[in-house]
Amino acid sequence: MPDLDAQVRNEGARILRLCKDLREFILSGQARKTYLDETKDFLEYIKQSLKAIDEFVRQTINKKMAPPLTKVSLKGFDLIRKVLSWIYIFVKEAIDADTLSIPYSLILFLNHTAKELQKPKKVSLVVLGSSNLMYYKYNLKYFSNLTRHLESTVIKDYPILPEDVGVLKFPYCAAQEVLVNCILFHEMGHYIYEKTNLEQQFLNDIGSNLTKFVQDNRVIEKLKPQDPQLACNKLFNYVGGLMSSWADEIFADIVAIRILGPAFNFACLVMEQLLPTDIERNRNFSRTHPADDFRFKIHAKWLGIWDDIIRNRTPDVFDRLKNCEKLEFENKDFGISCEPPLGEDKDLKEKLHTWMFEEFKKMVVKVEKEVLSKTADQKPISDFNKNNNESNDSLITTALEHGVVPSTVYDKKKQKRHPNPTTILNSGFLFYLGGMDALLERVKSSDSDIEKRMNYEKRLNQWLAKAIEDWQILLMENKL
Amino acid sequence: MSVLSKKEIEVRLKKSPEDLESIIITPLLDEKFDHDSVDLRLGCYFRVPAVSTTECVKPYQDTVEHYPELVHKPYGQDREVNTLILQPHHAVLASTLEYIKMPGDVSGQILTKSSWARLFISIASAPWIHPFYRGCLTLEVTNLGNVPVALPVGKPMAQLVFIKLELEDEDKIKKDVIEGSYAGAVMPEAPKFKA
Repeated sequence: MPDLDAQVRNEGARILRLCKDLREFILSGQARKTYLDETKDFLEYIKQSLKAIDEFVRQTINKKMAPPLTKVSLKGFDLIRKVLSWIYIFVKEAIDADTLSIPYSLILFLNHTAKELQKPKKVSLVVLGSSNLMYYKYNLKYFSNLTRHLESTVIKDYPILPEDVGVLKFPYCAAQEVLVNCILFHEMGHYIYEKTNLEQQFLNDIGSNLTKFVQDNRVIEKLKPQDPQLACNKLFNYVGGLMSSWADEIFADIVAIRILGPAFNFACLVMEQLLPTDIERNRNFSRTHPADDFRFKIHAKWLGIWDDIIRNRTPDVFDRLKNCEKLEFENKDFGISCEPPLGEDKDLKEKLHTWMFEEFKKMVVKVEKEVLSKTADQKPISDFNKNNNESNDSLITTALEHGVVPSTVYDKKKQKRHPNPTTILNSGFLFYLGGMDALLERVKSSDSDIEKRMNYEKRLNQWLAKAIEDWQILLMENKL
Repeated sequence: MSVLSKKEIEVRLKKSPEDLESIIITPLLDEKFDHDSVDLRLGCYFRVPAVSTTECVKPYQDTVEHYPELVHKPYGQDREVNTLILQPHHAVLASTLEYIKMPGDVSGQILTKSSWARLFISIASAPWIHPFYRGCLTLEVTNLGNVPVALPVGKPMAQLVFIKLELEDEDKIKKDVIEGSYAGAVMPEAPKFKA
């Protein structure tokens, strides 16, 4: 007979040591660094979780238990270990995400915007550095369910992960960048999508419409699977998985465009310059993302109001957007780079993909409607174009040409203005894409041209970050 | 040489950056200026002397860019968070919250506000600002007293005096230039010694 009490003690002691080490790791980080409230709250949640686990394990070890109960305890420990393995990942990333290691002022604005959009619901977006050269929203569903499971079956005081928490990630080296980090607003869009019931609605629709497709095209008769139900399930998982991911991406893109205007599209272009070239991605929908050119087609549609500005200031970007806008599913401009579970029947595969695109078009309409209702108050172009002799954009551009942070600018009527962060980002991006030479002409330096450019691209990002930070300060002091 | 008056400062503040005589101070939280100077606030970023394994800092020989360690104290109401405690006889690099652009015909001098001076806090050991300089001004804050002092982010600590240069026509700079290693800085930057 194994000594189960000893096993509980040994395993328990190991868990307790890990909890203690993690807690000390958090405290040592917190003693030296400053965090945004959202990160602070997240670390606090982790500390509470560790405390609850610690108390439970100590009580369990101290109890004298009969063997069946001991076995239950060991099962409980197993669930605790699963939760701890998730917490372990978050602790290091959150401790590393102090205010100097993240695009601080942009994230202040990101949370400010998300709270406005989700009112009266609470929002807490925790932004962490990622070791991948990409942006994404962390899927917390599994972790959240684990915490629920732990609370309902093992530790009744265990804190469930609050629903308002969202974890977004950016490439850790981009902490001092503002412009490319506009992509974080797309990741915020994923967070908002998750809070709607669109995904469930889409999956329901796909379920019923796919049944009709299967019947109309006599899929079962053609494939003759051993288990027709299993074949249908596989097909549903394939279609549902792809299409709900695409809808999620389009939703997130439109949210970012509605909030930021062209700055989001520019950020995508800048990010594209850093990623390995993948021509396939331009026209092919993948398992997780719509084709890049389809996304640009949607961007072009939603950026229509900015057309004149984009055409005049960044003609190359304008041409690309307009070329993408002409692309159509009907003309077979797009494909899907995945293999459906339909055996070798090429004709059926093609029919399925054509049908998926038709259905997806309907989904896009619903996505657009939902985003529009969520972002009805967002009109970034109005502050950008704000005119009283001069637009905010032109005042910002002049400031940047002279190496000045554009948080307080005066128009020709000597009126003071404080452009908002979306205007700062859009004017900043347009300046970066087409106006840097006017600034560099003023710089007297012995550096080579490329060094000079790199130094001042960094400066530009710092000025824009400072302008956004200043706007938050002015807002806090009721000076806007 | 003459000191710019409040009125002259206000006039120059409203000029476009294209105007060589323009003064820029941003963010402009308060427009109540003194008769002859502008108050500047303590910014959110500091560089503190790091505990280093370096035996000795050797300007011109080593890279010293990472010797003073960057610290951030966000602007806000929470005094626990947005205050830096400066120990007696210690020094820290700070910067002004305001980003400044100097005109082409004016130099500047930055001074400790008298209330802080009475706490034995000194904010500048390199207080002269050249024409056309732009950036958040670096403050070398030193606690010369015998007790620790809390430095609150966002509070006025310095005053900037603008001094008009008496330039002959041929000495006047006709074009805006951005010059110097620290031009455009938004936070205190580590020293950059050029060989």
